[in-house]
Parts: sequence; structure tokens; C-alpha cells
Amino acid sequence: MLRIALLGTALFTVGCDAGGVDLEGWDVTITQVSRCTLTGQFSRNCDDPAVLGQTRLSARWYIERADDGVSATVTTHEGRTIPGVIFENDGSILNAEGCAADGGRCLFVRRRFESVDANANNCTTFGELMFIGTFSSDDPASLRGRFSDVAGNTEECGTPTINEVAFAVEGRRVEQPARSLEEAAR
Amino acid sequence: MKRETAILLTGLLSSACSSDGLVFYEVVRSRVAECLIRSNGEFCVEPDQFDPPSVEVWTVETRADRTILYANEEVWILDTLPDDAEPTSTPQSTEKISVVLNGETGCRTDAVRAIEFIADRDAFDGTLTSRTVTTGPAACGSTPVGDRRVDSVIGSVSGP
Repeated sequence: MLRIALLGTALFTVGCDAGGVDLEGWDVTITQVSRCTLTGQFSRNCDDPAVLGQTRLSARWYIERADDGVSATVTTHEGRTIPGVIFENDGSILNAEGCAADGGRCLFVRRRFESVDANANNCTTFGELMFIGTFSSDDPASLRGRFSDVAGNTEECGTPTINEVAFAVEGRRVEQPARSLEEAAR
Repeated sequence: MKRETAILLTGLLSSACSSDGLVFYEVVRSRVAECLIRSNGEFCVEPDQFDPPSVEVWTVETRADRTILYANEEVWILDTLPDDAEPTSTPQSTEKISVVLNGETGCRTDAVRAIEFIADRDAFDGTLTSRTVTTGPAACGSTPVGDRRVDSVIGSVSGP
């Protein structure tokens, strides 16, 4: 009985060290694929994608998956933590760039806000930060998707303006989430 | 090992370590107080001069040993509740404190931001307060000087 108690204690300790949630490190390559500004009803200015694609950013993101198998958070290289959900990439929940019913499991995280100023003609400002990606069915340690950052205001604020930036993200899960531990092990 | 014991251990593990997942709330964050702190008192801004309310998605994660709040991109780790407290009906709170001390002038700035809320599977009701005050000798100017803001955060369960 004592051995069972000790085993139980050991399992309990090991299982709870990280609060029951594994922290995954992902090395990602981020490439800007579009940058557009929409001003007024008809003006749309976009940077040349060929120029945008010349620069790639390598960084590390962190993903924490909750035990419910559905919830997850992504923490980007800028320290932005964005909660979201994971689900089958079969088109039943979402069919969009990054999660287009082509197999694997989708990761959808989003942060959004909207503010209406009743003292300023109901001027509405809004923003949305979103990542839609897919863990490959063949290789669950591979992640590919699209990260977008949209912000703007409506015509009640004067000229309606929307700024859109989109990035292609390719990631690979790493063994050791913390870079410092990785380097210490060398 | 007996089968019953294995089941008991598995149950213990899962109950002690499981996360209930994330619950998303669409909340309206509205300023309810905004005051300037001065040496001769506190002077509050009229409500019609407040920043407009904003609609945001906040997320609460309940883990076995702690609750985590994701407010936009900011993360708050809530104070641990008593063992017998029910997280969905007990107010949860925590503070973030920073103190900046200028060794040369002796000016000290204390900033305290605090969150308190009750979140169940239907609704979120909370208050976010911040208070920043600088104190010190004459070199710091007329002190105390700072500001205080209070936001109410009220909403209901939503999707991400």
C-alpha cells in the first residue's frame, strides 16, 4: 500500500508540474504576404508582395493546449498571448485560408476589439489579430497558416480607413521549448 | 497493482491536474471613474469625457490549481482561492504592482493595477482599476501626483 501511495504521489507531482498543460515551443518562419491600406470607399494601396516576401523573420512561438483537447493559447515572439481553439480540419467548422478542409487539425486564435464613441458621431474603431493554421495530419510537428492584423475606423470618424497586414507562418515543433535550456545543454 | 487502484490513481491525476479549458466572453469595457490625483485632492473627469466603451474578447482558463485571465493580449494569474471556494461563484482577484524609485531625486512612483471578477459559464462581471502615484521631496514637484482609473467589464459567453 505504501508503494502505491508513493507512486501516486510521484505521478501527481510529475503530472501537475506544469499545471497539467504542456508548453510547446515552435520555431516559426514568418513572411509578410500583404500590406494594404484602404482609405475611403475606393482607394486601396498595397505594397508589392514580391518586395514584402524578400524579408523573413525567424522566431519562436509557444502553444499551450488545455486538457479538454479543444482550447489552446498561442504566445507569439512579441509576447502577445492569444487564446483560441483546435479542431478537425474537415470544413465542418471553418473553411478559410490556413484551414481549408485539407486534413490535419486547425488552430484558430483571435483577439478582437471594437469601440464606439458616442461623443464623436459614433465613430467606431476596431482591430483584429488572428492566426488560422493547420497541424499537418502527416506530421503533427508541422504547422502552417496565416497570421493577420487588421485595424481601422468607420466613416463616422471621418474617412473610413482599414490597415491590413497578413503573414504566412510556417512552424516546426522543437523538443525543448526554452531556448536557454537548449543552449545550456550544448 | 489492483485495477481499482489504477483507476483511483488515474482519477486522482486527472481531477488534480485537469484544465476545464478556456471560456471566451465578449465583454464591454466601460470607464466608470477617471481622476487626477494632486497634492490638494482628487479631481475627477466628467463621464462625458471618458474614453468610449470597447467590446473585447476576454478569456478565462480554470486549471486545477489556478485561474488565468487573458484580457486582450494581457495575461493575469489570479490569486489562489480557498480550497472550498467555487471558482465560478467566488470573486477572483489579483494585482500587478510596480515601484520606480529615482535614487538621485528620491521620487517614487507606485503603480497598482488590479482586476476582480466573477465568471461563470454564462457571464463575466468584473472591475479593472489602476492607480499611479508619484511621491517624494520637493525635487519631484508638487506631490502626490498621479491618476486613478476604474473600468467595469461586463459580458457574456461568446466564441473566440
